[in-house]
Amino acid sequence: MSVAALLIGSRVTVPAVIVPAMVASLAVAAVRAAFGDAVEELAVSLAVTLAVTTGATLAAAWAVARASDRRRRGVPADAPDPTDLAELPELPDRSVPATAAATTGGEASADQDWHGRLTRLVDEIAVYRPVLEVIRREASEVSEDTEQAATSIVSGLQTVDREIGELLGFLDRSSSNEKVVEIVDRTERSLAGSRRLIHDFLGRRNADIEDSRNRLVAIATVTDEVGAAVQNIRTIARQTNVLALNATIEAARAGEAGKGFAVVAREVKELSHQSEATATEIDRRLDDLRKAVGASLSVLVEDRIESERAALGTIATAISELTESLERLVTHQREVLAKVVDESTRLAGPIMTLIGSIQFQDCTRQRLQHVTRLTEVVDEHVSDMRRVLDGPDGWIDPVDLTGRLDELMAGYVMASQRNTHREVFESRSRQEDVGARIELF
Amino acid sequence: MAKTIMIVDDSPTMLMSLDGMLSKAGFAVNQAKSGEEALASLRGGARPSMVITDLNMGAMDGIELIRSVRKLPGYQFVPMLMLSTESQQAKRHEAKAAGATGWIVKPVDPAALLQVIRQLVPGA
Repeated sequence: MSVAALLIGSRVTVPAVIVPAMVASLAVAAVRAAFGDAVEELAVSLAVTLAVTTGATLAAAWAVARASDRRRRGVPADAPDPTDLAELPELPDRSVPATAAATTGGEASADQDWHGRLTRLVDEIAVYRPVLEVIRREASEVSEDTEQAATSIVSGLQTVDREIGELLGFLDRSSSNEKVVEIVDRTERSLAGSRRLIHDFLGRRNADIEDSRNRLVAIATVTDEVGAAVQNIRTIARQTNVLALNATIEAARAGEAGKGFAVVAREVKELSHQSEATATEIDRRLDDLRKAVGASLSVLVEDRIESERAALGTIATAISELTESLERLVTHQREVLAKVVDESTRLAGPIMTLIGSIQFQDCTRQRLQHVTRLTEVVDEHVSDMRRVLDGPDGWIDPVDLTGRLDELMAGYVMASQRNTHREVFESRSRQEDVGARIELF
Repeated sequence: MAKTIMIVDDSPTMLMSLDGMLSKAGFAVNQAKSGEEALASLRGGARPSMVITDLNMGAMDGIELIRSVRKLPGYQFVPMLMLSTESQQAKRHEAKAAGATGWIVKPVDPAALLQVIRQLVPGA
């Protein structure tokens, strides 16, 4: 009798045979997903031994278990193995009640052999308990590590978001319309004051120059008048000279009686010559004065006024350029602020999405919790098998995995978990309808 | 004045994520790490405009929390959303019967969550 027939004949129901194999497969899938190929070999061995003890996929699993056992004990594959389970004698038909069956000495011996070997097998399975414990701890550490990483990421994103907010606030405060208007107004007032000062200065300067010119013109007029008076003096001097000449002639004609008069006439002539010379000298000095006044007027009006006007024009141009530069600066600042606001608004979306995406860690944590629960189910099952072997009701009782699997199924919190469970344990790929992700009642 | 949203979840990551999303959107956030803590906070005078709770938490799950909150004076009509990885219709019906306003499956898109909140909280 084959071992499968033995188990089937020993009240192991069909679901109890298939379901453990499904648990084993799910355990392998979960462990592979969580920890990769390194642990997969152990998981496969565990799955195979589970399947063997419960009857599913018996032949293949049994072969793997035998090969594994031989390797562990250093028995060559082609060497005879006295402990090989396949070489055991057949067990009596368990479908017949024990009390009714005739138990021979040979059957009792076979029972003991099988019991011993299966006990050893279950003990071997128990070796994997530390592996399961490692898996649980790894799952726990992965959960903690991802939680720390997620916390760190969210914290970093919030810091970035806060810094951007503070930067925007600063730019907004420093570049607000009121602030800019205030700066522009103050500058405009200052520039207008400068323009007014320049205008007033120019006005006063023009008035001073006009006054100076008027004074110079007045001097020239007076000089001309003095010149005219000098001309009169020269005329009088020339006429006096003529009179003196006439007086001298008349004195000569008077003879001796005119000698005294001739002296007077000569003195008058001399005086007229001196008057002429003095008038000429005054006229020459007046001419010099007239030239000096004209030169001053030329310097004052033409050169100095023009140079001052040019300088003040340069200042006015500089002030206008300063105003234009200020306006350009304000415009540029507003454009920069608008650009920063625009960029930060565009950045807000991705930051919000990233903060939201951290929810993946909670989903991962819950999945890992179920991987842990899965290992516990396997662990409990190993304990059950040992209990069954040592139980008073015989060593081949069906082990109730169905209840545990139902419990496992009920504990799932995601449709994807239930879908995977169905795919593995029920060999069907029906996808559960997850419904709307957001539903308002 | 900013509206206050109470978030209840036993996962620190979820609390941080929700807090980050809601704060950035201009809401004040009141956190609770369990149903019991949330209930104590509400009994202590917290007046949130909305409660968003996880389903699977320690001793008191989200449905029980909603049931308890609905019994508090003044909380009969406060919007209460269930935010869970669970999507089973049976659980949704249970939450609806307990007084939940809506059901949202994790992970939730931030924009979608904010749209729902603004729809349910006047002036948000």
